Amino acid sequence: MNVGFPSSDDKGLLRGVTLSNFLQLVEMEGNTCMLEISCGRIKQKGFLFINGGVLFDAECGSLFGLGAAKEMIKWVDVEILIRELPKSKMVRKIDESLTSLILLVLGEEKTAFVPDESASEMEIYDIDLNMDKNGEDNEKQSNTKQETTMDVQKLHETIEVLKKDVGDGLLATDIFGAADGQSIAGHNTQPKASALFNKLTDFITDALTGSGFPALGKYYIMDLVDGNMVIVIPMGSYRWGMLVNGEKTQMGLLLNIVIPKIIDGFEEAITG
Amino acid sequence: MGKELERIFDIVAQRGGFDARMEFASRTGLSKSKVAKAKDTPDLKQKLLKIAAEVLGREINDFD
Repeated sequence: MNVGFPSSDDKGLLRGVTLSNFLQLVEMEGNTCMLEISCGRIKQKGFLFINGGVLFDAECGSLFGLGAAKEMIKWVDVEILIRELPKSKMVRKIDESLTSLILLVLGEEKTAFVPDESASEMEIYDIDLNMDKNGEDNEKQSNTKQETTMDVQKLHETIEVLKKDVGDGLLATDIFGAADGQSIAGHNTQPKASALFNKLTDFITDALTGSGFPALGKYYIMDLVDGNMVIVIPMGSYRWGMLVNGEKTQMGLLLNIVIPKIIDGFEEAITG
Repeated sequence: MGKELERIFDIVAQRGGFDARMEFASRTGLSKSKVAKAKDTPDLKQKLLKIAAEVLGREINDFD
């Protein structure tokens, strides 16, 4: 069994842990396993099939795939039994990363998501666009710190725009935190690539600074073999990475139309 | 409506990348699409230019 979690007994049974926290750990560690989730409160049981930290499939009563996973993530006070992943469950049926899915469920439950500590500690101005004609605004209000929240639904809509506009050329995409490299939303999400390209972006930023070169602009592009490309867009507390097939993608359209459009969408998601 | 305010967002992105633009959006609490619907008032423009200068670490002297 390709798991190495601490367990409360020899059968790999965990009690008293929060499922969402545990799933983020599984994703971060890149574990492969089947999790049998039991919720005593509602007397239900379900299964999550995870391969290399990526959620492949889920089953819960009459629900399958994404619907089953979303249902189980809502459960509280669960028991988690860690088992070996059956070979029959090696087919990926869920696009979202575990972190993305958790945020989606939290968003649906109308829970505000605070991006990260650094973002919430920034000095934030609450500018009133409806100032009167004399421009007399409330100075006290304009300099008040406010909490930045993420509109998760808007974030997913922005991913959909990218998928629709790039079509088959988009092989994978992730929006990940600059602090930890954890994907918060994406399509055919790649947790390992998110973590590694996050480190790479830090390295490139440091290399430019250390060289006395101008800082990184809007994005960087890597030309890969077989006509593929990686594009990484630094966006403050977040970064957006995408793997595209350049032979199936009109790069002019992507760089000049689609990227500005998704940046606008992401900006709306963080400003509410 | 808001053409000058929109231009500030473009200048921030041009000179500081999307890193700077997202910091600008977070600090103002505004998105480019939101300011597009607002009026270009001198006070609002000055306020945004001030925050843009803070984000970029330099004044935007060539705006007008």
